[in-house]
Amino acid sequence: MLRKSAVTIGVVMLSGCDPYPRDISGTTDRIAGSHSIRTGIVAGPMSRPDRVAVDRFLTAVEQRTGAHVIRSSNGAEALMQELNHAQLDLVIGPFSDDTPWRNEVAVSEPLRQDQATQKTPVVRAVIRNGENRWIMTVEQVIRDQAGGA
Amino acid sequence: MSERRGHPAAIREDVRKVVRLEYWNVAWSISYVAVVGLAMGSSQAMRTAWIEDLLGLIPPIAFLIAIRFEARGANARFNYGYDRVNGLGFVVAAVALLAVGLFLVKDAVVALVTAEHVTIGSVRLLGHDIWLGWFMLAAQAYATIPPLIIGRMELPLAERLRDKLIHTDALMNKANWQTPKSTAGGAAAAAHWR
Repeated sequence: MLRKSAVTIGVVMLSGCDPYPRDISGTTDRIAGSHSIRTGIVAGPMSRPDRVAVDRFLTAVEQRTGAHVIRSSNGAEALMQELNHAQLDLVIGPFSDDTPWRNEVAVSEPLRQDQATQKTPVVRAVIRNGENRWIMTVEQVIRDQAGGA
Repeated sequence: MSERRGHPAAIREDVRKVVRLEYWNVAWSISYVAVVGLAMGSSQAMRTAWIEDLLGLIPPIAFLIAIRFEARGANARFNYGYDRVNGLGFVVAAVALLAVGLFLVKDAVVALVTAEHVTIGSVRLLGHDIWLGWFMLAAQAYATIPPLIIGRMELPLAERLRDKLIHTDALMNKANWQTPKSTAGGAAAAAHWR
């Protein structure tokens, strides 16, 4: 009991270490300042459940950040370049867990909980490397949705 | 001629001490390889530290194997006994130490040249989202302590025993007690960086 309380206190203390981590390129601050999240959606056909999951996710991100999503659409390669040149804050599209992009960008868990263990490409969020606060925010939203689904 | 025969009691005592120390070394190394492995997630920086910790296991294991062989007497096949197994173990340990050095250099140079941005994700624990960087800092703090103590205890023994294999292991421990500091510095920098 005592040990469990100590662990809980430790976890709460760690989770309270705000405002760390920070973003290397300041994405979170930029979003807070401009109230906009520049989001690229990978062009191509998307199933209805995927579309629903993307809309649900983006709405939740808007609620979490108080910013609104500005959508654009393009091929994956072009979107990745824009993401790495800080012209986008977020890319959403079908990526597998071991996508070759993984070394270049941070790839989230699947947006749809029912695809959590799927090996083929499924819809995920992609963020620029090093934007650790922003990555954490996106991960929190996905976990909240998985918990509430 | 066996290593064990003809040695003064002081040297036999030192050998006993160093064997005990190396068993502790292996046990501690396995424990922090496990801890760092749990904390590393998909972090490339942590993976390097983890590989280095794994390589750190090689010299003590090489020594423990070598010392068992060295104690054997000469036989019809090996007329001069097994004394040179120590030399073989030294080669293995030296290659491992070289690999650690190359890993560190490669990692540092690549990170510097490509101005690498380190991504460290988060994990949900007891309903709280915690940045994995804090776990990495804790794991690295833990991984600093055993090599620090064992390395310091090993160096005088290695000098007294004139054993190059133990000396390599002491150097490896020295390298190992310095990397956690740099990894922890990296994780801290990733947290503060803007």
